[in-house]
Amino acid sequence: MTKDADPFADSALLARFAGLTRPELEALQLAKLRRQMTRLQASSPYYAERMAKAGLTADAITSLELFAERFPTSSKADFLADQQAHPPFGARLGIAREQVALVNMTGGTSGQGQEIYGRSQRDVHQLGYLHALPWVMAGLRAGDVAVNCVPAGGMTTGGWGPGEGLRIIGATAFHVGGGLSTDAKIDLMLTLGGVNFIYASTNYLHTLTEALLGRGITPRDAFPDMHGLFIAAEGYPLEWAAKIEEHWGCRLQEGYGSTQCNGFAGSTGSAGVFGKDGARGLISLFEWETLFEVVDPDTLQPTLSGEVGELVATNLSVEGSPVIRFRTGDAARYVAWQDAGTGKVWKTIEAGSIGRFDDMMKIRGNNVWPTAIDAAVFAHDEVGDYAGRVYTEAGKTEIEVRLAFADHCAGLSADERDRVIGSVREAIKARTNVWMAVVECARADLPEFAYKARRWKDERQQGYRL
Amino acid sequence: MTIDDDAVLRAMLAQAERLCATGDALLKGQYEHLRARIDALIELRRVSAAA
Repeated sequence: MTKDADPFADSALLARFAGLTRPELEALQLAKLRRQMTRLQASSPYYAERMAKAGLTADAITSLELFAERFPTSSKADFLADQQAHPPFGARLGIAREQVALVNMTGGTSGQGQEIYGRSQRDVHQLGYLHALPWVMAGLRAGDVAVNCVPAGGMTTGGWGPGEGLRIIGATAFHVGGGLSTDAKIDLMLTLGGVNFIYASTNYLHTLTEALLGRGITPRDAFPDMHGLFIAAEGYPLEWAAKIEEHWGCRLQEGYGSTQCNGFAGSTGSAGVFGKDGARGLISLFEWETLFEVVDPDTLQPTLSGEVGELVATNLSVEGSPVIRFRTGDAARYVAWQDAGTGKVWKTIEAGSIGRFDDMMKIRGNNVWPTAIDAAVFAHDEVGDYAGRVYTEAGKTEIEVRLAFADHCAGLSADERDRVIGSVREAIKARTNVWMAVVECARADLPEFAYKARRWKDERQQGYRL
Repeated sequence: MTIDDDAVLRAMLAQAERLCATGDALLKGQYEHLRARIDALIELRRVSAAA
């Protein structure tokens, strides 16, 4: 395995998907969509009712445009209400109860409740495939040593998909997430006689890198056989990505996925997270498995290429608990295939900047996304991690960012620390239009996240209590 | 007519082994996974010393 494996040369099947014309791809999508809707019309009272309300039948879906115009969207709230009325899976399940082979739940980080998904045996293979697919595209091959830093097992899709994916690739997988401390993971990795691939959340790859540097270990020297770092789940600044690639001596790659998509729905592939002229790269969507629309969240009208919109997903192959026109709440910059320059006709979204519409905080009249603040803070190599808090004091909105310096910057002087803090403050203002108080704290005072980081707390409601 | 499960599985194993000869990096591991599943079913059905 080399660092520059060409997935399209190594897989004739993948090359065929890459070689489709846009009309061929859309014909495939429509055929799969009609098959899915025919099945759900008979097997899912939830979707049958939505079809009936729209005056649609599966046979009447004669184009993707008609489907997008007529079929109603579903949201998390719809699924939660369905589950409450028909526990545990809701009437949307779409397969016989005894055919459920794996149960997955969403993470619950939204605070609204957890969606429950019942997957069939076929879906479980698909779950593995939808992890193997982006990793093969990233250069992972049979026999490679892969370290999976995402906590394995449990109820989440992210707990099961990586194991299935690495198994069907034939990689030698070490599932170190959750069970081992960061130091213990490093100790283990150093004994493996070579590591080729790491899968981690953005936040955890940062933690792991910082811990290695803090121990005086240069990742590229300690792991010279590394050819892929694959991240997901969180945005990041390009400055950070460049430093990660420099520290590790290999390409950083990213995937977009979710429980609703039964795994990954797109990836940067071997091109990595940098595009032309050092700009952000693109995530190519696996549109033959998941039909994507990118829409204005207020009007549900299609987003123009280059603009940020909400991803709306439809599973074309999933049997158990499929999502059909599901509003993900994920905010992504859409780049049409004609503008992407990838050589393929797959729709793309910008890498590194995917956020959540529901994470947005309205602060002093400005729309502020945590990803924007992450980008400002982590553009500074000296910062280990941070946590933010929005609160009210004497009727005024205040924002506090507490940051801890990285272990490898322990020797910075007070003046140097002040300079970094000032620079972080300026960078946050530049990206959000909001001045925030930035203060230093000890690293131990900040929470550590093994998977998705939740760095922000909005305590303003508490401030209004009488 | 009864189905000879062992004969079916042996035939499936032979077919799966043919698939495993693929050079397709995306499919090879999946075919080997399939072959191993069939092989495991053959093994767990084995009740006599005769092959």
